[in-house]
Amino acid sequence: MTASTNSPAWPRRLCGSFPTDPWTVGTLIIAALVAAPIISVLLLATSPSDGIWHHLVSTVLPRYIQTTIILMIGVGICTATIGIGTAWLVTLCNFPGKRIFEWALLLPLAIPTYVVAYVYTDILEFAGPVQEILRDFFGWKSGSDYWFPEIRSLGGAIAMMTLALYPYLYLLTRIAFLQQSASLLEACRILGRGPWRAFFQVALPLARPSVVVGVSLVLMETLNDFGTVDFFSIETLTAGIYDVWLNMNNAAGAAQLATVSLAFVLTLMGIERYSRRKQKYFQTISKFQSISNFPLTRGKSFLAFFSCLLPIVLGFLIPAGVLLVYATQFYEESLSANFMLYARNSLVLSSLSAGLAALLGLFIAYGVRLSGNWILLAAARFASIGYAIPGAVLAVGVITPLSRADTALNNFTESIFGISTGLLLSGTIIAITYGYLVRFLALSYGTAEAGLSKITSNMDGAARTLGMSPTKTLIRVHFPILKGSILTAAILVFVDTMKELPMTLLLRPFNYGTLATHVHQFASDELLEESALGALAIVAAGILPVILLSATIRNTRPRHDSYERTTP
Amino acid sequence: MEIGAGEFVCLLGPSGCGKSTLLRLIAGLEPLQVGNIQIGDTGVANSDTGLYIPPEKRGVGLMFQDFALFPHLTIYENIVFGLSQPPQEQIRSVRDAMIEMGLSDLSDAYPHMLSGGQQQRVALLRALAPQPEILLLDEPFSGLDINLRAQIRDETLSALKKTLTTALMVTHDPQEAMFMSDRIMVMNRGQIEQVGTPREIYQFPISEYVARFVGQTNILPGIVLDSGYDEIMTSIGPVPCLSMRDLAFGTDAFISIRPESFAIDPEGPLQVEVIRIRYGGNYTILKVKLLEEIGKGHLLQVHVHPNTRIDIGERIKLRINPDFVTVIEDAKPNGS
Repeated sequence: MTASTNSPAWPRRLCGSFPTDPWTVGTLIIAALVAAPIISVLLLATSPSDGIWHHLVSTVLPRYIQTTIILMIGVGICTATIGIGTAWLVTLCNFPGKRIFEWALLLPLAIPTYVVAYVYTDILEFAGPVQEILRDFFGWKSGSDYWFPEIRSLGGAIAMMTLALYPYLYLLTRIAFLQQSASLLEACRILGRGPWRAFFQVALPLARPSVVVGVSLVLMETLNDFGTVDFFSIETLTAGIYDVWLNMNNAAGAAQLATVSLAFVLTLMGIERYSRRKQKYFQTISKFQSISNFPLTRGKSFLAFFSCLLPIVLGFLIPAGVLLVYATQFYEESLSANFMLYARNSLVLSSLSAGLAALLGLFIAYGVRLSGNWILLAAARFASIGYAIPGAVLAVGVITPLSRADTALNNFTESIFGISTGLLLSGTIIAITYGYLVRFLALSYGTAEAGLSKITSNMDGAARTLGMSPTKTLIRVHFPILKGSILTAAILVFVDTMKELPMTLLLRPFNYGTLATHVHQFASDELLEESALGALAIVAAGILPVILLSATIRNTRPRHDSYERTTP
Repeated sequence: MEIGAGEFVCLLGPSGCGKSTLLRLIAGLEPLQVGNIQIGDTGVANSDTGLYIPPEKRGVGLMFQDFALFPHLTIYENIVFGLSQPPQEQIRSVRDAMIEMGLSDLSDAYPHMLSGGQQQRVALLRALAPQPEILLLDEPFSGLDINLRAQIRDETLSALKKTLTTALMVTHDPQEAMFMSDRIMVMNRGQIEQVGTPREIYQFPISEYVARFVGQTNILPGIVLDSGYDEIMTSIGPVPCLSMRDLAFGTDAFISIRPESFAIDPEGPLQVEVIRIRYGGNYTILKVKLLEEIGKGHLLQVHVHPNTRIDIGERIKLRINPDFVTVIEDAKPNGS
């Protein structure tokens, strides 16, 4: 073996051509495809718009922005209060039912916001059972005899979204509390601080980055929501995009609104990224001891018990219970309302998207790992911001390049073969699948990336020096180790696409429905009972990630027999 | 640098000096920026021609510090991982080797069920199974505790000698390097500073860096004397020296005196006072202060036999055995 050094290292480095192996090229292509809609929204926003912008500013825009901000503030404060409070109680206090609450508090995640809204409107409106019982009991005759809060209002929307979204904060803060060193809290108690002061002076400040990340996620979901605001006739930016596009038939105006929405998202993402970076400095754990809990007095125990019970009852038990009752009562009607067709459509679309997302996510993550090239990493990161962008905005971004491609394809085939291909891309499930991938690839990419980062690069080195090509290494080493987390990623994408409403409404082919659009349409027509089976199916699917997530939390404090950790 | 067939060569240097990178370059796990690498008669990487043979085609074996056993495969599957459709005879030799290393009962176990020493043996067998032209070892013993380490080193060496495998190991542990290697290359900031047998490296380091890296030493400035003997005039008087490196008399130079060069001798020329004693098990480390006219107050480090009964403040006489004294080029004298 000989090694000679004869020329300085840097010129070669600069002149070195970009790697052209299939992994690098493939990763770049996928990243470019996924990034295309995001870029296309940005381009649309900056392109000239024939005064639409001024029109929007002078008419609806201020109202949209105001409503959106009030909604976001309301949801942010309420979810933070419930999420952090319950997380603290179940993590650090002792009271009956704590073990069950630990996972049950995640249950409301299974129910999409719009389903919660449909159910509560159904039972709380004038003709609903609650007001009926009150009227019977007090002998009221009409609505003028008494006051009852109007559910279809901004306040109602805040309540609905809080019930559906607080688990995000619960989840992230609970993990943060679990990762705090037990000895910190012990020190706090030895220095004479009770639970309240330990919470406000130590635990909460340390959990702050996670809280901020959680609130950002909740607010992104709030911005994304279309079903609830549409049903409640609340004029948010997302509702506006939909209205301007479909009802006023003005795609450019929709794109303009989409960019305003994007500005909100980018701000949130900036805050989120910044806090995540801080998060690592706030992870104080040095060794994993079990946290000693604060014992509660009898009265306080009851209070804690009911504080944890209430969000579960309101956010899960009541909506799921109502749906269950309707679904059994109106089983025949549900089936005749084409339930099977929609269920099949949902299943096909979600499986297709989940499979593709899992595959592409792994491909990109492995491509980045192989090349270690920063351009690739940046492209992959950019491609995964789709998750933060509201479905309605992404729909605008997806449809624009696809219809251009359709026109080009159509012109091409017509001029060569004399055949019109029609809307081959934008008019079929290709468009909606593409949209799902753009929005949810981040889930599978993130999971694959996290999984791969746990496998030491020496593992690759060992396989390579033992004669395996990169592809064989992936198949024989990484894939078997990552099987579990890839499956998890696929399940998460599956469930999320199943629940997805705003993008599905805009991108689905004509006369094509999924369970989500079916429930949305029937509920909007005050026919919730007949779509309850569909809603229940979505909820049932949504329970899967809840189970996965609670398993994740439980493993936050690592066990000794962890499979993926291989260093001795 | 070149490594002969069947040789065991060690790259010795502190962490971060580039030795692991060199291994990864040879294995093909990192792209080579400048230079060329050849294994046997085959060039595997050359920055001028752009030649790059991927690691799976190079026929190298690599053993990692963390062993990098595949957690989802059994011990046997790990070991035969690199054999594609292995012939019967190769399987038999793997089986034999597993029996020899006491792993035969564990062939269906998974890596996480094994002790560190067993994992190390599996990693060695896995790397050797495809009969690589060269085995690269990246600090392979640093994950093991001290008692096990000596035993596993012996096993590894005999396995390598039996298969006549050429080996290149990197380590930051000079003891390990000297114990195992035919030749040592001492690295400093990405450059090879000295190449030699373990004895040459320890006895005749060419620089202060090498002298200090492989052991403890006393460094003193001096001038080469024209006394007819190999002697150097230093701040503590004339010191006999085995390796003069053909320096002309009158040249300024430094010498390195290993602590074990000193011997307690009532007839010795150096009278010293003992100011500190540290018991080290196989030797005792003394810190002494020179009482002679020349170099009075100079502090020296001295190793004596652990049996020696000595107290702080005691005055003893020392002589210097020239075997472990050597002239070195640039150096800074002892701060003490």
